[in-house]
Amino acid sequence: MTDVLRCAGLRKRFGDVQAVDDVGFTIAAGETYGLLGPNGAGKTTTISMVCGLLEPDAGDIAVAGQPMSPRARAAKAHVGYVPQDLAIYPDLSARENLTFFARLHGVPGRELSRRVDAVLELIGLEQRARDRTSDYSGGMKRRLNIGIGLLHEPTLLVLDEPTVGVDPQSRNAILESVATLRDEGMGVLYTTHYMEEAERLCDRIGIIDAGRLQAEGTRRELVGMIGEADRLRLVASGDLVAAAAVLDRSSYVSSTHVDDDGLDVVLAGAGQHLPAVLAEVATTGVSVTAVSVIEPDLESVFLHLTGRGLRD
Amino acid sequence: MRAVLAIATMNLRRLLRERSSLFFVFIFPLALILLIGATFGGGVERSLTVASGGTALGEELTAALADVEGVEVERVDTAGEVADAVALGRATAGVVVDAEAGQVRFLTRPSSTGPALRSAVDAAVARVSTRAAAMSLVGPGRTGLVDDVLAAVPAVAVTDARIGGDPSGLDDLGRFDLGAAQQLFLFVFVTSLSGSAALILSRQLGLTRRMLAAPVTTAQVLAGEALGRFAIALVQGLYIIVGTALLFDVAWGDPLVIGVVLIVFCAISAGAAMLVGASLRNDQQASGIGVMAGLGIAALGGSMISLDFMTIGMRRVAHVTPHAWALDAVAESVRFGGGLGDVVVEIAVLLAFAVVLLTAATWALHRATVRTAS
Ligand SMILES: Nc1ncnc2c1ncn2[C@@H]1O[C@H](COP(=O)(O)OP(=O)(O)OP(=O)(O)O)[C@@H](O)[C@H]1O
Ligand SMILES: [Mg+2]
Repeated sequence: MTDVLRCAGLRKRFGDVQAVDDVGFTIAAGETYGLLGPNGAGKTTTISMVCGLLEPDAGDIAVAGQPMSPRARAAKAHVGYVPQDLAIYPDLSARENLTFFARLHGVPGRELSRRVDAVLELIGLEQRARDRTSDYSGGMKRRLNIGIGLLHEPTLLVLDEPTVGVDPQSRNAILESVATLRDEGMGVLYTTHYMEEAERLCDRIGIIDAGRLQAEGTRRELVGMIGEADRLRLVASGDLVAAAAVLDRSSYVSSTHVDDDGLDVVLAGAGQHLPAVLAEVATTGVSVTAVSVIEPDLESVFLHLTGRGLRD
Repeated sequence: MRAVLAIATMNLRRLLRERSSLFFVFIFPLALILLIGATFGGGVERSLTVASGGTALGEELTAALADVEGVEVERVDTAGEVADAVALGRATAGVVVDAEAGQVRFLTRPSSTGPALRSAVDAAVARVSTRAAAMSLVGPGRTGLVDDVLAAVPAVAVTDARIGGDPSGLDDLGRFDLGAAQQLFLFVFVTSLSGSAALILSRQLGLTRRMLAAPVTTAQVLAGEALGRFAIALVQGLYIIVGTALLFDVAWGDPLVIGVVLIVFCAISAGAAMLVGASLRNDQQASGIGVMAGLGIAALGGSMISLDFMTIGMRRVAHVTPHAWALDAVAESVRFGGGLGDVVVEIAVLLAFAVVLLTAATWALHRATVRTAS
């Protein structure tokens, strides 16, 4: 089976900023691939190149075997793009928005109303289909924003942070419909800076930071990368930076991360080393008010790889 | 082509959807034409203020003037009152009879339709003085004979020969005719320019970017936006032409002339709207600047103050705008029955405007569009 997306060696520079630096990955049919990274990591820039909106400085992209570029109409026909910021006409209704984009995608006239109806049902907007979208709630607009990307039954669905600013209920609905589409064989490229979403939805995850793909694999593989490491969360006050420095010198700690109300310590065998960690921290005069051991997760992986939290 | 049409119809749909545009596009223009026609349509009713001086001859002249068709005579006592009425615009023109000095004075304001009454007054004076001369020859008591003789002499009517935009041409037209042409080009242009805001909004809201993610080329998106602007201008233009023809009986001359002029003028307006939409970043700013610039250019081009009332120098300046050329073409057709062959120059100039504007606009919008795709 051909991969729905193959990209390799992608680079893009804006002035002094190397937004994307040698990024490459593939997505198989029916697979959901997550690009997980903090603000400014280069997720949207990568997606712009994948969708043929931006010419890469270097690298190759093929969608369903077709080379992608801003002029590649055959490749673009396979892609359903859902932009990060809402892109819907505020003065038109949901039905009019959908009909317009369906025409643009060349959905034939006799199929048009069937597809529009199907998408309206999928995004749960049948009742409001005739109202101007400017009167919709934020979640409804988000759902329409996604629905537009589904109209032409794309081979590859590209979702750029589709759940930002959505209440938990709508968010669940969005995640579920994406899962349904994947089960129907659609390839999905999904960007997010929510670790939980990536863990729940994605078959494989690429961790991106500062324009580079830092690691890639299934959740299990990624977590395995940091060995048997656990994450120890200390809620503490005092000179946290000094405490972290002391811990970094000890042999059993692989990394530390300080934030406003405590520090995270990634280490192997948290239970075994806990007394030693607390003793080291005590030497710096930092007082610890709570301790928790967190099973390895993607946050720990990101911390391990970059020494920073996902939401810094 | 399907994508181009989809973008164009979507633009038109958005215009028809907007409540404020329904007012400005459909109600306001006809209301304005009605108002202007009612206020300045002096062609039908003209008033003459007359001070007869109280002499028999003066009275006779006043009566003769009252007989002239389409002229309403108001009598006053003094020359000063006549001058006031004319100066304040209450009267189209004034006549002061000074029998003792053997003088009839004709008073008008410049830049009014007053001079057109001069020939009517001349004719009345000639008739009255001829009669007076005849009376003095035949002596009193023979008035019947004089009147019989005069009645047998065919009345000599002086008709005006009108060259170009002579103001006296006004009385031949319906009261709305020229005002309607002026408003036509003003509204087509302003409606187009105010639509440039929609282009900017499409870019800001990421809709242009989203369109470009579909299997369409940049050229198709640009062509669709251009065709959309053109369709909006054409809807506005056809609405005014058909609406005024039906409601106010406005004559638009040769359908071929007004048709070609309108189509080329719509292309010009579409080009101007795209240029504004490509150059500005803020949609509020675009509607504001668009409307102000649209009104300014229209005023300069004779769409507010008629070209007829401009000095030669001003008329030259007016012809830097497409409005003046379009108005010239319509005037040629409406006033002189000119056909397409008589307005070749005007149409050639309008086409040149269209080509230059559309080329510049396509280039600018292409740049702006490609930039927003990233
Ligand atoms: N058009 C542009 N011009 C200049 N710099 C840009 C442009 N687009 C992106 N960048 C820069 O490239 C880097 C990556 O941006 P990008 O939008 O791809 O990040 P992101 O991962 O999508 O972030 P977010 O989670 O905030 O959406 C940032 O430093 C950004 O400032
Ligand atoms: Mg982004």
